[in-house]
This record gives sequence, structure tokens and C-alpha cells, in this order.
Amino acid sequence: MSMRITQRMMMEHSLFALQEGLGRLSESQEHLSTGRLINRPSDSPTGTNEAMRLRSQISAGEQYVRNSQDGLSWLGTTDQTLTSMLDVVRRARGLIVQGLSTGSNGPDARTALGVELGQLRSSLLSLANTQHLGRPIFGGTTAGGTAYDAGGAFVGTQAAVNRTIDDGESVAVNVSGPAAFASGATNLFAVVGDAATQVVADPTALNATLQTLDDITEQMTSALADVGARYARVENTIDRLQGTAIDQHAALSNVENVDIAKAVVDLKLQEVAYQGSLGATARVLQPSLLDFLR
Amino acid sequence: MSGTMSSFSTALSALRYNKIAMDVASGNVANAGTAGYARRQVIAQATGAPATPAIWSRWTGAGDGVQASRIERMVDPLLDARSRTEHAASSYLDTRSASLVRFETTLDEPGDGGIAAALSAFQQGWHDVANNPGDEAARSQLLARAESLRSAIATQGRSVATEWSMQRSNLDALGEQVNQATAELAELNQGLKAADLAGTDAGTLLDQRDQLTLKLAELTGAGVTVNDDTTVTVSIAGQTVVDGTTATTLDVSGATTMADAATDPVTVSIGGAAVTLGSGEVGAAQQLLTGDLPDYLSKLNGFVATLVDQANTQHAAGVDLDGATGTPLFTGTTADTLQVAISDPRKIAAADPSVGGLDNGNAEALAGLDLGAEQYRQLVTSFGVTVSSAQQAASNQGTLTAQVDASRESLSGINVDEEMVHLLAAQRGYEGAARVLTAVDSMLDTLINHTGLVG
Repeated sequence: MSMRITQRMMMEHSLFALQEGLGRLSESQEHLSTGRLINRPSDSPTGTNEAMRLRSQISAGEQYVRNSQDGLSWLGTTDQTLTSMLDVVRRARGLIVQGLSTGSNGPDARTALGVELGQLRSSLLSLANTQHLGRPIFGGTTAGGTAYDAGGAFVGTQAAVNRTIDDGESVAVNVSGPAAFASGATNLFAVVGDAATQVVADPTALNATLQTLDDITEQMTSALADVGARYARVENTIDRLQGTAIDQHAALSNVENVDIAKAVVDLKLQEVAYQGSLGATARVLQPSLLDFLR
Repeated sequence: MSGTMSSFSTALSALRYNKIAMDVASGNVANAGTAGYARRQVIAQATGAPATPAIWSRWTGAGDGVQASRIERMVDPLLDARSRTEHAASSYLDTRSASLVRFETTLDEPGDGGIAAALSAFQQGWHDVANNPGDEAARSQLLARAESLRSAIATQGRSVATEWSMQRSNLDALGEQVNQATAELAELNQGLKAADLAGTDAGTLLDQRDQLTLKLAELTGAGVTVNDDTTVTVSIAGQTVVDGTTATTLDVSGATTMADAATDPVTVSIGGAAVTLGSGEVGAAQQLLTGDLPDYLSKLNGFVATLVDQANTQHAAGVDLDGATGTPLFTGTTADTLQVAISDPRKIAAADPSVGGLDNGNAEALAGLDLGAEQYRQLVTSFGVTVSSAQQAASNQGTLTAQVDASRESLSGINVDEEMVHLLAAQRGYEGAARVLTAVDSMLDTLINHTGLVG
């Protein structure tokens, strides 16, 4: 015997089908209106895991870019400052060489050389105290505002200022004063200061001083080269991070976001199906034998 | 040899039978929309030769009419039992998945407003401090982010507790419904027993009985035994709740807030014996109250403990702006007790103690920590799996239940067209019987008034 069908059965089937259709329609509508495939973890647990991982990677990546950019500005300031200081040192070297030629310079000229060297020393000192965001760039991690005191003594720390530019990758973005300008009594400022007095009082000593200054110059040049190399490295990292960020955003969008064209087609399909079941319900529930009994 | 008048009684029996058939059909039509009503069918029986032959007489009748032997209630006890089982499973899964889905929407994961986003922001805050260890603004921002993280965690903890309280009061209400249904059923058993003894039609009582047992199954997944006298014995998780006219109450006791539930667990007991229900709405509420929700909270607390432990340990490894060793960043180890313990931005220990000053070694180290992010991600993912499988199971069970309901409806449901046909058939039968009366009447008229008259 075939299954006996009752009106209530058809009614319940219709209601069930309408509910199902409406449910799918509402799901498609949610996808379209939020633009997201995953609106809650149960929509796709594996997708959720991936999305959360990507989100934290993206936000970490953005932070690394910020860290790197901050590092770049430190390195950039250091680079400029070292370049200016090298100019000044070259000028000082010229003056010292001038002072060496004892025959051609009278005492007045020597005094003038001494005064200029003294000025160059204070100019170097002020450059060495250049600040970036309120911190002396050659002062390491000092909390004070200067790297060198007025007497030319190093008052900063030799600790590195690090920036995390990528996962587990930290790079020093500073050059500590002693590393660039030598330390103690033979540091750049002491040497130029000595030269200023020697050029007046004891020109013969200038030879040794010039030698020390050249050594320091070499040290500064190599510090400058090192800064340049680190600058390039950080810049490369930024490029790479930004490239990765684009990939990660694409991947996140792949996991989380709706393919609009597909969603619209889906919505249309659900709509047609829903209208179909509405129409079928309207036609099927109406007639009964009573309509035909007269 | 039957008497002349016997045809009258044959026609009369047909009139009576068709009247009953019409009554049954109209009763069915009237109850087409009544919940729990099972279709009735009148069973006709021809009256005729006596079943036991007599010794000295012989029955020579030819068609002695019809009688309604009984009115059958179209049900199948096996199908009823199956329906109860499926409905119990369905209501369990529906209740559980509805509650889990409701809680899930408060997570805001994956998204910008949840714990994961707040945790990322907190980690970034450490990077910002590492970039500018001397900057009070970066330090204040870090503290503000720590506070947002705390608030996001506390909000989620409260969401669990809110859902828990909701289910707890739901359980009380469900318990009352169960007790009401068992009391009604015990009373009904009395009526059923009396009707069975008296041999009267107990159709309406049986409808009520089946409806109440189905409701009890939906509430508790109760097991039902139908006895010979049509009464039922009902047991929940092995404990008898309705036996004859006696109903035993189901009691719900224990804490009314999630925080107290650890010391005063929520218990469902019948006649003093604690029971664990595996199905029905009560079973779902019990599962949510003692399983799903506390499990989630304890995993969330596990994440909080990891966060606090990692952050505080690393923070203690550094020194603050004034050179003092880092004090704990957070206090508390659970979602509701978690607090940010530092309010002075200078107290953030960003520096490595071997360097001090404006060093950022410790801030970098802290920014690089996982801080339980992986653990939280696993928690959310596994909860997502739980919810999605609960939804899937509920949807599958819904389809299965609908199928069983359809089979039941196919047997017990009312088809108005069919009743119309029955009604028409009875009407025609009635007309036929009336025609028989007229024929016999005219026959007798011929015999009485016209016998002997010629022409």
C-alpha cells in the first residue's frame, strides 16, 4: 500500500520546505550583506583558525613595518649626522695639515687656526649630541638628553638600541658614541681639542694627532658604512613585509570574504527555489474534494 | 425462517450503523486540526448466524443486518515509541545547539572586537613601547590596551555566565513542566483503568495519554511502558516517575549562579536519587550547565592563566624607568578576577636590567611572546567545531524526526477528502437503508390493504 497522505502532512511538509528555503535565503543574504563567509566560528572552524592566524600575522606584520620605519628614521638621522661630522672632520684635518707647515704660518695665523679648530670641536660635539625624538642618537640607551658632556666625555651608554623588524629578528638602529668616535682621552673631541692647543703651542705634536684623527676618521667611515648596510637591510625587510602583507590580506579575504558574484548567484537561486515552494504551497493546499462536491 | 418484520430491523441496523459511520467521519473532520488526535475508524460487522449452533433449531436467516463492532483508533504503538525516542533526541540537540549558537555570537571571532584582536593590540603596544621606551604616551597606550584586553576577556567570561544563568532558570521551569506532566499522567492512568474495566471507549483519554508521554519524552527522554490495562508506567534515567496513579517528582537543586556551581553543583534528582539525563530538554540543560559551558570557561581561564603567567614572568625579568624590577602586570588567573595591576606608566619594565635606562630589551622580549594566543585560537576553533557539529546533528535529527512524524501522521492523520468519501458512502448507505424501509413498507401495504382486492 502506498503511503497515505493527509492534508496536515502536506501542510507540515510545506512549512518545513518554506522554513528551509527561507533559512537558506537568509544565509545567502547574511553572506551578501556582511560580505563575509565566516561570521562565527561554527561557520567554518578550520577557516576560523586560518582567519585568526592570518589576522594576528597581519597585525604583527604591520607592527614590524612600523618598527622598521622607526628604525629607518634612527638610522637615517645617524647616517646624516655622521656624514656631516665627517665633513667637519675633513675640514679639521685640513686645518691641522695647514698648522703642520710651521714655516708658512705666523703666530697670528696659528691662533686663528686654533680658534677655528676649537669651533669645529664644538660643532662636532653638538652634532654628536644630535637627538632623535628626544634621545641622543649616539647615547645608546641613556635616559639623559646628551651623549657627550661639554668636556667631550661620553655620558651615554654603549648598549644597542634594537628594533624588532621581523619575527625573532632584531636589528640595532644606533651607533654608540665610542664605537664611532673612539673612547677616552683619544676620542674625536679630545683629539680635535688637542689639535687646537697644539697648533698654537706645539705644532710638532700635530703629526701624532693627525695620525690619531685619521684613525678615528676611518672608524667613523666604517660606522657610516655599517649604518648604510643596516639601513638597506631594514628597507629590504619593509619591502618584503609589505609584499607578504598583500599576500596575507589576499589569503584572509579568500578565507573570510564572500565571492560576491557567487553569492549573488546563490541568492538568486535560493530566491527562485523559495518562490517555487511558495507557489507550490499555494496551489497544493487550496483544493479539496469539497470544491468539487455539489 | 425469519419473520416478516425482520427486514425492518435489518434496515434499522443499517440506519444505525451508517449514522455511527457519519458521526465518526464528522468527528474526524472536526478534529482534523486537534493536536494529538488519532484518526478513528468504525469497524462494521455483519450480524448473522450465531457462533454456537443450537441442537433443536436451525438458523435460516439470510442477512440480519449490520452493527458497529468497535471504533478503532488508528495508532501503532511501535511507531509511537519510535516517535518518542526521536523527539527526545531532537529536543536535546535543538536545545543544546540553540544555546551554543547564542553564546557563540557573543565571541566576535574572527573579527575586530574579540579577545584575539585585543591581544594583538596589546602585543603591538609592547612593540610601541620598545620603539619609544621613554615615551609616556606609548606606555599609557600600552596600559590602556592591557585594560581593553582585560575587558574583552571579562566580557566573554560574563557571556558564559549569562548563558549559564539562562539555562539554570530554564532548568527550573523544565522541572516544573515535567512534574506537571507526570501528575496529569498519574491522574489519567486512573481514568484509563476505570474505562478499561468498564469496557467503554477511552479514545480521548488515550489521545491525551499519548500526547503527555510524548511531551515527557521531549522534556526528559523518558522511557514509557504501556501496560495491559492501557495505563502507562514512565521512567526517567532508570527512575520510575509514574507508576499507576503515583507520580514521583523530579527535583532541581544547586547553585543559581555559575560562580557558586563549583561548590554547590546543579543536581537533578528523582525520589532522592541523582540522575543524569542523556536526552530531552532537561538533559540538554544539564549537559550545558555541567559540561559545555563550564568546560568553555575553564579553557578560557586556562588561556588567562597562560597570559598572566607569561606576561608577569617576562615583566619581572625587566626594570622600569626608575630601575626597579617589574612588578606583576596582571593579577588574577581567571576571566572574572583578571585585573591590570599597574597604573603608573613609568612602572612598565621595558628595559633589560643589565642595561637599564631607555633600553627596550624586555619590551621586545614581551612583544615577541605568544601570550596564549595559540591556546585561545585553539579554544575558539574547537568550540566552533562543537557548535557546528551540534547544529549538524540537530539538523540531521530534525529530518529523521520529521520522517517518523510523517509515518505517524500517515497512519493517524486525517485526510479531509477521505472523510468526505466516508461521509458520502455512509450517506448513500443511509439512503439505501431508508429505501429498504420504503420497499418493505409498500410490500406490507400491498399485503395488508390490497390482499383480496381484484381490479
